[in-house]
Amino acid sequence: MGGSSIGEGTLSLGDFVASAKALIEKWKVIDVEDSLPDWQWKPCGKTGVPSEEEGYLALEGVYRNPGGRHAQSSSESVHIYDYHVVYSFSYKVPVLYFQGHQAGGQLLTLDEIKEDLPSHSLKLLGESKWTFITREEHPHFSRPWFTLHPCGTSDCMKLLLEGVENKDQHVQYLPAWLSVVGQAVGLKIPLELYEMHHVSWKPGNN
Amino acid sequence: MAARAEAAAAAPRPLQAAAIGVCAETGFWDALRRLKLDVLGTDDSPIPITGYYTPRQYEKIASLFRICPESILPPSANSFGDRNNCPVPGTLLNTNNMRGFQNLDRALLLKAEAKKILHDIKSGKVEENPALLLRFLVISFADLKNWKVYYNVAFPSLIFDSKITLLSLKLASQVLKQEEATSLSNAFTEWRKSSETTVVPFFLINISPDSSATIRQLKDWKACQGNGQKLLFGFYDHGNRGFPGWALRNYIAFVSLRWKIEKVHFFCYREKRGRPDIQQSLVGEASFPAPHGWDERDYVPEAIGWEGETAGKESKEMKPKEIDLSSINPASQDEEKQLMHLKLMGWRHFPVNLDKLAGVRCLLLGAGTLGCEVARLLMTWGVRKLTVVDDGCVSMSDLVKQSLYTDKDCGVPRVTAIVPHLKERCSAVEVEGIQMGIPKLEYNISASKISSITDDCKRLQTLVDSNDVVFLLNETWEGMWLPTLLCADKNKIAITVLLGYDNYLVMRHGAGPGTKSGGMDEGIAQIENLSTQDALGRQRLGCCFCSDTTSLVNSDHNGALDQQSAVILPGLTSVASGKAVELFARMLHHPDEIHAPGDIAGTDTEHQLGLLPHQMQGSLSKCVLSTVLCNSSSNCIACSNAVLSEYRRRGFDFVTQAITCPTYLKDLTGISDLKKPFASKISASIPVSKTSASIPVNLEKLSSARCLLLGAGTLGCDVARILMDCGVRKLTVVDSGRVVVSNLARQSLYTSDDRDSPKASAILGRLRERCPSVDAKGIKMEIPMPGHPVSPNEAVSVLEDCKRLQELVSSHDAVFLLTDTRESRWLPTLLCANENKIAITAALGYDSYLVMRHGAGPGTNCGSPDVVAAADTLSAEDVLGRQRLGCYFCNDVVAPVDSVSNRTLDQQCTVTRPGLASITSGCAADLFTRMLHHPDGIHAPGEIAGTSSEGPLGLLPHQIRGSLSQYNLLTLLGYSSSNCTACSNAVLSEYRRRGMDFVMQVINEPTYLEDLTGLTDLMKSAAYSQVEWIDEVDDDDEMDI
Repeated sequence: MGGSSIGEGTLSLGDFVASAKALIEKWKVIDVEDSLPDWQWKPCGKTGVPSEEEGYLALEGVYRNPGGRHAQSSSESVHIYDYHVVYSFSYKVPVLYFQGHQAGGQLLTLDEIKEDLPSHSLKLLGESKWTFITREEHPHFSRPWFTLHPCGTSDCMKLLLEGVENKDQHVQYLPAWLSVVGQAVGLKIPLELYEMHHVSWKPGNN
Repeated sequence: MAARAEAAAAAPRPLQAAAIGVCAETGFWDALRRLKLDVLGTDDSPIPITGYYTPRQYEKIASLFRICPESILPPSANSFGDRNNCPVPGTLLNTNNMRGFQNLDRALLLKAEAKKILHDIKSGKVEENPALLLRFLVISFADLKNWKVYYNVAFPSLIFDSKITLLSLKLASQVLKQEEATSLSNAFTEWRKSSETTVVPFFLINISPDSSATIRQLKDWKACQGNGQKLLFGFYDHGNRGFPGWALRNYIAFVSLRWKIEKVHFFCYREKRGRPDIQQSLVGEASFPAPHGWDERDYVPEAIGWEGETAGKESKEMKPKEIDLSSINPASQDEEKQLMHLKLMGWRHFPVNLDKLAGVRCLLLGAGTLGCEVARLLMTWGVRKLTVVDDGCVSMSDLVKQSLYTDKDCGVPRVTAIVPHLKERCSAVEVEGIQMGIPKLEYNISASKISSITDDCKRLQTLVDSNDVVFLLNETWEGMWLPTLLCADKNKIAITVLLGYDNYLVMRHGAGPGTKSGGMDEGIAQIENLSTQDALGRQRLGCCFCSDTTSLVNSDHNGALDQQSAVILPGLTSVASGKAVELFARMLHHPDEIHAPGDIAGTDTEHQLGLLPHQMQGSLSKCVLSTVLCNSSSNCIACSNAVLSEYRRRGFDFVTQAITCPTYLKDLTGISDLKKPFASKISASIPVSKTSASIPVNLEKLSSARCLLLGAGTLGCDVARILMDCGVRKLTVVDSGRVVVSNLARQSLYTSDDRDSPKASAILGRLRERCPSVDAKGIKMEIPMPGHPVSPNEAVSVLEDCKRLQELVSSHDAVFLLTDTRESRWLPTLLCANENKIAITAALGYDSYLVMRHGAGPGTNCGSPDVVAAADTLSAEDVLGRQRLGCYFCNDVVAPVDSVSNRTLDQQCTVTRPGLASITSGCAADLFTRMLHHPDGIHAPGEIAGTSSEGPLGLLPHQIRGSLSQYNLLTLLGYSSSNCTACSNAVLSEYRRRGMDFVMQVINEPTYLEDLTGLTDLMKSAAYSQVEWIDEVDDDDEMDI
């Protein structure tokens, strides 16, 4: 697996898949908020035959309560978010696509989504050059989803991965990336995920 | 903790269950929208769907029942399902309109579903597929036009004459021993791991005396008996509270009815982060004494289960949930909205091949009067690839004729101006404008020009090659020769439109020649061995030069054509363009396309499109239309084998020689030199009246006529524009609607800048930018209609509208009824008859149209000026003592009623063939000018084509009815009926006596009209004597859709 492209802040498809699968397993063993389900790998072959290489990372059915986050919510008033991480061949980086809907099914508008975001996310969206929300066609569905534009990703990742040991870089890429984009869209990514190189962790079934 | 407190309560009490929340995703409704539009059409029968159930996943939130895009797949083809998506069968009932949705008997539907559940319990099906206990029902109305869905969901729960009593309910952790809990947790982990069992929401739990737990399918119930094992009836519980989920109710009913168990121990299974949450799961006991009568054959159980409905309470009016689909894909929405009317054709008539239309490349030679209209109508048909060739510029005097241009375009090349005008009506259209003259047979070309002409020839050849269909709209005869030759050579569809002063010819050229078989090299055969038949072995149809016996020399200088084309009746272009585009669409949908044989009107065809003629010729002033079939002539100067062989052999040398040498083509084809003016070609079967070129047009009368247009939609736009072309300068337009994107392609005046503006105001600017001297007014107002009852707080404003309309009618000279419902024409018809105003109705069916002028109002018997006295003495004749002609309502045997609310979308949306409105508008405006010029005006008697002697202005019929698919045009005459609900003396007397009180009564209670006019009695006697009225009504009905 090529560490050299990671030095440039980009990622090969093979590294993306490997990093994604490592993240799925890691996520299962760390403590995350109750409202967060497990990440899943969704294979989808464009040719019709699902293959391991083609696919995306998905975190679906994330609940969020508009208004008081700690109130015992009725299921009627929650908002449900789906997050997809898709590999961009043109930018050679992961791209976050997401959409939210009301409990009844109605899609949320960007304004409604922003109302759900904590203030530090809004601040980040307002300030950072590479985390602005646009609406683009989801590469695997013929429908527009919200997305964080990938044009500044590689520059940012170059900085983030400085100091990470070379052999860990491809596995560390997605957690490091998620720690930033997650903030922008109000997704709470536990620090444990990123601190992989401090934890003795072995891939396993549990 | 609240949950704990609730769970700990011990006294027996009625079972309380948590309702299931439903998340019906936008993607599902979008899938339904497409299915409805593309496949289901008017079919509103129930559809089997699949919903997805899951045990509680998060501590704080109950799980939602998902209805997602996969849900719409037919269950047999739907393999979607996983641990958090347990498939559950359901039924979707999607109605055709809002009223249908509101009128659904929700209680009855719920019972019917409950009966299915009971049946599955009895028959043992539940053991095979336990998810049947969760069967659900969705009722909806998908409003395709506005991209909204209204719906309600129900989970029917059986109710019997005995009640479920909860005896105990505790957290599982309080009931189970530690070892039992651990063993059960492991068993659940296994159960949830297997793809076979994880989707099964109901199951049995065995706990043996040694604390080991096993989970089994319901069908293994017998094996779970005895051995001192504890048996719990387990199920996935979606809820997060201290009481069980809704699924338990039917589960207990099942256990009790099927296995005769009165006391049920149950287990509510919940999860946390994908792992069993034994802590928060519930264990309880409920009793349910066997009910009575449930096993009788026709027993229908009571049921509850609509969202928001709770047990024991009377179900109140349910508020539908609403989903807005417009957020799902804003980009594709405009295009989909524009194409909707084409898709709706497939609901009842014939499926339009949208892909083919979107892919076909059309070349339009000419961007003038015909070019504008044809380009726009092609776009309405869903054509998305257009190339327009023209060498002229837009001039001020053309603006009223050439429908797309505005005053800003004056002096600009037409091909430059037309592109943005098409784009602003349909952004998906690809238009290319090419500034170029079509090389003509000119003969006196200077040698210096020859090379540039040869270049143009080559360019034209490239253009013909790269397009699929060529429209010859260039209005000069000499300019048609080369394109005709090129199309015949490359076997391209060519459609020619020729206009005379008041007559037109629309034709498709035949296919090019095939080759004779003879072992010859294909390339040589293409030149040397042309067959007289086409590639399918059929006789070739002719081109526009075939039936002409002469190759015309410079008609420009003879003046025959140009003189005529310069002066053509307003409206003729609209009629001819409508027919040309219709011919195109028919041809494209014919399996043989260019090779399709020519049909003649009056013959039968099996094709669902109707007839596909070769040529049609018509005359506005004579109100006739005929179809002609003529085969390719072996002497034709454009498509005969002699010409094609020579062209293929010598290419542009041949073309140059043909263009420059006057006798060359004649010598080549061997035709004798017969000079015949071009005009005689179109009029071969329709002799042009000698006076036609000099019809006296009284411009003063036209410019001072005050015209009131009711409706500013497809008909309103075209009629307003054609009236301006006629010379009318005083227009008032009434409409209540706003411009929406689906209007843009069909309603000729609006552009995307007008979106969301009221039509009544948007149209004014559009008229002025075509004719600065027009005096146009717009009034945003809904026309009060019978059968649309008015609530007391609306009454004042509706009364105002009635009075306003009455003032408008009396302050105008002519009223055009261009609305799209029958009932909206009633009040204007009444007011016109009352004030003796000219009223012209134009109405569209799917492929048929009606244009009629209403008769004059009645005269009085004694001529008394006293209004009240006059009301009693209305004469059966008009003031000239002639029998009154009928109005739009004279053939009706029922009063006009609400014709919209109960209908399907295609009926509500005026699904008509594109082009039909152009034809109808052309006829309506023409009828008006004829009437205005008639010495008797509104009192002119109705004439019938072919019988009446015709005045200098041509025929003035009472009604014109035409059908696109049958290619017929009828002139009809009908007199005013004494039972008419709008213009009979009974109605008029009542109106004169009671005024707007009478009108308001009719609006609220249309059947009152039937009593008043004697229709009620007539119907009774008709029913008695079994007269067949029905056909007549249906026919009229269709006219008005």
